Amino acid sequence: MKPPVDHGNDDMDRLFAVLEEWQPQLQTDPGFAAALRRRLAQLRAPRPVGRIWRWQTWTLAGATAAAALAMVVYWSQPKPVETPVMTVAVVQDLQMWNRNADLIENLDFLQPPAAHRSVEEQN
Amino acid sequence: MPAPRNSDPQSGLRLERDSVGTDAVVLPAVHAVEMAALDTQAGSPDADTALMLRFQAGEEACFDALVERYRRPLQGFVYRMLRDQGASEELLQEAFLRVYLHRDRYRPQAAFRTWMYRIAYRLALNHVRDHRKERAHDSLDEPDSAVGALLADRRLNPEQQLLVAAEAAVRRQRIRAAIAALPERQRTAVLLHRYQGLDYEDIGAILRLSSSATKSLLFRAYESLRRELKDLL
Repeated sequence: MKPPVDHGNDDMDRLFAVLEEWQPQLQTDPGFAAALRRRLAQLRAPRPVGRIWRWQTWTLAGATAAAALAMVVYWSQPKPVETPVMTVAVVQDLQMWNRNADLIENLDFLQPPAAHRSVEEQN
Repeated sequence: MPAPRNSDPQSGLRLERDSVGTDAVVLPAVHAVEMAALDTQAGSPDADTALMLRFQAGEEACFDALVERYRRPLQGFVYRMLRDQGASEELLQEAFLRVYLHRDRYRPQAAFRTWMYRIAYRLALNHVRDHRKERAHDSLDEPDSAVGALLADRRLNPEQQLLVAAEAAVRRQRIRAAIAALPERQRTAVLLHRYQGLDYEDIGAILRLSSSATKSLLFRAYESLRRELKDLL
């Protein structure tokens, strides 16, 4: 074959002739076409239903199920009973009680003194 | 005998009218591909591009025709890149699979030949880089067509045959080593130019270089080889 490069010198022509000596005898693998067709057939084939059993599918399904279970467990936990805080009522009661106690304690001050009482009684 | 009716300007395929003379008769795909394969034997890159376009359009049989046409030349190129026949077969399958899978990416602005070689080149390059350490030793036991011819030469006695064959094997090993010692782009350019018969434009398209840069690259590569193999010239 005439090389596209024309260096116009004998050295290059001789070099090209030497390079031509490297002509490996390549075996043509008789299974090449069959192997290629097999790989292509795998690509062309529609995805079979059995692919759902692939490990990726199971991993994804497992992760989803675990997440769902975790949420169910979380939401089904018995929540602590919220007792109504009666702080205001209790404080009011205590204040009332204090006032009453003061009243009871000082009840005698409301009574007239004994001396006055006796004078008044005498009168 | 069907009469010629029309021809496809891209692929050069003739569309024929059947024996009944019905209009708008289109040949079955397989028949058309067989004709296309015959046409491509002339080595026209345009015909390959037309086959690829038809494959893009859904004619899967055209892919088989392209494989048939490119298998041998690509095998030679990939083998010279890798110098490993098993790996080159494997890589060749991968290259054709890439063509099949990425057929939608092909644009007819580039010849199919350069696109195909570019795919094979990139795959081979990756393989070489991944197996750089394994390729440290270059063996002499490469299968070679010339050895068989020498051993079959009845003008030489067996001893002479062996001597000549051994000398030829050493020369080839020197040639392989000299090419292998070139920088990667120079080596690829030499393989594509010298052994695959591609021109500057095609090589430039494969290596993503301009024509002038490709010329310069090849000139430097051949100068290096000339110095390295001076005693063989």
